Amino acid sequence: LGLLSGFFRTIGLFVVSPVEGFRRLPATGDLVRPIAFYVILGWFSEAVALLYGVALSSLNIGRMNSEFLRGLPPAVAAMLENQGAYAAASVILAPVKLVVVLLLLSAFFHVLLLVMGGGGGGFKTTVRVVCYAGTARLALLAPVCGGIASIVWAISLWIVGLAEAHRTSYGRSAVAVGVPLLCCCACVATVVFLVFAGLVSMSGLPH
Amino acid sequence: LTWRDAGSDDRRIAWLGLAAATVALLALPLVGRVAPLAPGCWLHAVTGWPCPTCGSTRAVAALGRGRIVEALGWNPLVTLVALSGLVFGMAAPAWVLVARRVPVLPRPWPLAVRLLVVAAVVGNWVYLVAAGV
Repeated sequence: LGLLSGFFRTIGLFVVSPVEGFRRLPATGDLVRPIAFYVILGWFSEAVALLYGVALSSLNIGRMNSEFLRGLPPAVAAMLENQGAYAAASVILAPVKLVVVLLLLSAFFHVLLLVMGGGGGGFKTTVRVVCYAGTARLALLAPVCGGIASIVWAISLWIVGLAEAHRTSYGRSAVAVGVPLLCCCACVATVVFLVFAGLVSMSGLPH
Repeated sequence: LTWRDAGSDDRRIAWLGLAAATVALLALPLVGRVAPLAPGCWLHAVTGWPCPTCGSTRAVAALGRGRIVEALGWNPLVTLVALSGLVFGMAAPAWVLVARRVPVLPRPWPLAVRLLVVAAVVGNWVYLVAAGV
């Protein structure tokens, strides 16, 4: 019960007063709680978002005739026809994806902060910031526009969090967040997506 | 570069690194199969210029087929970082358990190191533009 109330109090803190939340992040201490917070919240919100996705696209797939599906690349058509199964496999494997994304994002942000002359709090502080900025995944609970809202919210939490936790300027923090997002992550996110899609296809679903 | 004793968090990060490297190794051979599902690079589509990580998908797919030289041709920096990440992930737990010490880089990084990182990214980008990736 204490853990559960702590979980919700943490969510409340980062929703209502993120600046204070990131200022209060300990410089030392274990990473288990932040990572558990990030994975539990991310897993739940991802499951809900996938549910919305399947529900919405199943309305459209019913309207797609077999001729249209035949015109698509086989892999895309197979995914559309078996999207319920793909969604289930995605939910099961979501914690793996979440941890890989956490490590990659933290590494990107931290190297950029170091290049900008910041990052004094160390890599673990960056990991903590990315974990608690995962609060933005709550926006995924809103159907349709949740994805975009979540990205915008996450970007603002990353910038605030890196600046406050590392005691560096908001400018450096914004560059550390903005550069990988603008220049690199379009392609790197593709690689993460492909690795994840590879894992899903390993689960034996038709492809 | 200085060294300090490895703490419990260092061990956890090392195990996380091993888990991530294992997942990547398992999924690597399948990247080429699911690559057609991936969207293209928006920067390349809009400007005609490659972004600094263009060619990453093709490089990772080539790594999945065991073709390291081909991967280096698609994107040298991403290939080197990916290979370093795999080696780091695989070796980190053993290193932390056996050596019990971890390297500590000075913070903030010295200007020379920062310039080296920027030069590596810019150099890689120039190569991608020149090679027409």
